[in-house]
Amino acid sequence: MAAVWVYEITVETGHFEVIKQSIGGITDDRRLQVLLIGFAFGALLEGAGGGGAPVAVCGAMMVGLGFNPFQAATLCLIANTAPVAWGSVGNPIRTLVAVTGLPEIDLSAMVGRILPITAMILPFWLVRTQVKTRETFEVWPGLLACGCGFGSIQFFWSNYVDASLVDIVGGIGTLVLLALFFRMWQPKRIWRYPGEAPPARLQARKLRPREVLHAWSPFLLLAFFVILWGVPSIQRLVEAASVKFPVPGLHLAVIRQPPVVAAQYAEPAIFDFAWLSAVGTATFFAGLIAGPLLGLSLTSTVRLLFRTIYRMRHSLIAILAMISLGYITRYSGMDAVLGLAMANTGRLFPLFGTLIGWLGVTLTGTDAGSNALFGSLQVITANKLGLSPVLMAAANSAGGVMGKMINAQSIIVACAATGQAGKEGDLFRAVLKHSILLAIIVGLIVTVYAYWLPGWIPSGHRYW
Amino acid sequence: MPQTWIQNYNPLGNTVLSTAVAAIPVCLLFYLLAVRRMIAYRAAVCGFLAAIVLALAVFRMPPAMVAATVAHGLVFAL
Repeated sequence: MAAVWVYEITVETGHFEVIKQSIGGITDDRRLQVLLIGFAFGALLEGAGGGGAPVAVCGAMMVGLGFNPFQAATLCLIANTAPVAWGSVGNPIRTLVAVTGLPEIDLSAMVGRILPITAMILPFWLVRTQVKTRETFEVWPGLLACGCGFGSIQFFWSNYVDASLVDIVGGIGTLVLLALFFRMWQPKRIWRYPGEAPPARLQARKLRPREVLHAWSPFLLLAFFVILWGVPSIQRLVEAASVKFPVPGLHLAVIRQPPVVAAQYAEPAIFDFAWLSAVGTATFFAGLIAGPLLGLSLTSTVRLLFRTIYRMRHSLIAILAMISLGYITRYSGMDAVLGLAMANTGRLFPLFGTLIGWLGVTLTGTDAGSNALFGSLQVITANKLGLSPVLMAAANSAGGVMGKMINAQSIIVACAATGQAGKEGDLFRAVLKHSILLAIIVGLIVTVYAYWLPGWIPSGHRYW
Repeated sequence: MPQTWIQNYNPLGNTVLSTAVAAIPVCLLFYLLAVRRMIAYRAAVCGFLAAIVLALAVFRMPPAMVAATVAHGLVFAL
C-alpha cells in the first residue's frame, strides 16, 4: 500500500516524467523495459522486502511508463517468481530450516540448483506473453543476457556465499548488467504498443545526472529503507519495539499430529504488533522523506497518503478477509488435508510434492508460509519414499514461488496498483495457466534431480 | 493449561470426501473470482465465511479457537 503512495508522490510532483525519460534513455523498447523493471528491479524489491511491494511498485511504474495496465499487472505477477524463494532477505529458506531442521546451506544450495533454470526461461516467457513468438526472438540477446545474468548470480550466491542476499545482489547485478548491455546492443526494431506514439527523441533534452537522481530518489529511498530494515542488527532493534503476546485460547492449543509432523506439535500463535518492523513501515518512512525531498509540503504528502488509502479501501477489505481465510484453513487443518492428498502419489511425489509447495503459497500468499505449513510433511514423505529430504524441502520452496502469482492477495495488490480494481477475476484467469505450467516445469526439474541426478543434491555442502 | 484441540485430518472418515471438503473455501473463492467475476472483496468475504462454517461444522474446531484464529489473522493483516 505504502509503495503505491511513494509512486503517487513522484507522479504528483511531476518527477515521474524524468523517470520515464531516464528509462527511455536506456531502452525505448517495451519488451526490454519489462526485463529492467518487472524482472530486475522487481527482484531487488522482492529480495529486500517481499510481500506485495515488488508487484505494486513495478506495476505502478510500468503503467506510468505507458504500458497497457492489464498487461503490466500480468507481467509483474509472472516476473515475481524467480526471486521469491530468497525474498525478504532469505526468510523462506530460514523458515524451511526452522521447520525441517535440515542445514540451511544444503537447502539454499538445492533451491539454487532448481530456480536458476527457471530464471533463464522466464525472460522469454514474460516477453512471449506480451508479444508474438517472432517478436520475442527478435530480442533474444537481451532475454538471454537477463536470464543468464540473474540465474548465474542466483546460483553462485546461493551455493557459495549465503542465503539472505541472493536476490538483492541478483537484482542489482542484473540491472547494471542490462543497462550496460543495452548500451552496446539494441534491437533493430523498437517495439511499442500498436497505436502508441514513437518515443519523442528530439524534444527530449539531455537530462542532467543530478536531475535523474533527484527524480529516482523516492524509489532509491524505498529500496534503502527496505534493505535497512532487513539488516539483522537493525531488525532486532525495530523488533524490540513490537508488542508480542500469545493469542488467548489459541496459543499452543491446536495440536498438529503425524503424519503431517513427526510428532504431535502444538501450534504457537503469537499476536505480533510489528508496527515498527513491518516492511510497510519502512516504505512509509521512505514516502515521508521523499515527499518533502521532491518539493511537496508535509501536509500534502500526508493528504496524498489518505487519498491513496481511500482509493484502495476495497482492496484492503479483500486482503483482510483473505488472510483470515488462510488462517482458518491453516489452524483447522484443512490445508494439511489437501497436502496429505498430494503426498499419496508414490513415484510421482517429486512432481506432486513440488505442487504441494505451489498449493501452499496459493493458500497463504508467502513462500515462507508454505514452507512453515508443508516443510515437515515434505521431509516425512521423502523419508518414507526413500527420496532426499533436502531435495523435497527445497522443492516446496521452489514450487511455491510459482503459486504466488495466483494467490488472491497478490492479484488484489496488482489490480490496485495498476488502477484496475474490479478486474481481479480476469487477471486471475490470465495468470492461472502460466502459474500451473511453470509449477509443472519446476516439478519436472525436481523429478530429474530425484531419479536421474541424485548426486547433484547437496549434502553437507559448504559456502566458501 | 488452556484447552487443547487435536487436528483431525479425516473428519468424514473418507479421505476423498474429507479432501473435497477441505478444498471448498479456496475453490469457492477462485470460482467466485474467476468464473462468476465477483468483485474481489465480496468473493473474499464469502470464502472467509465458508472457511468458518466448515471449520466449525466439519472439522469440529472449538468456536472460541475459530474466533481467536480470526482475530489473529486480522491483526496480522493490519
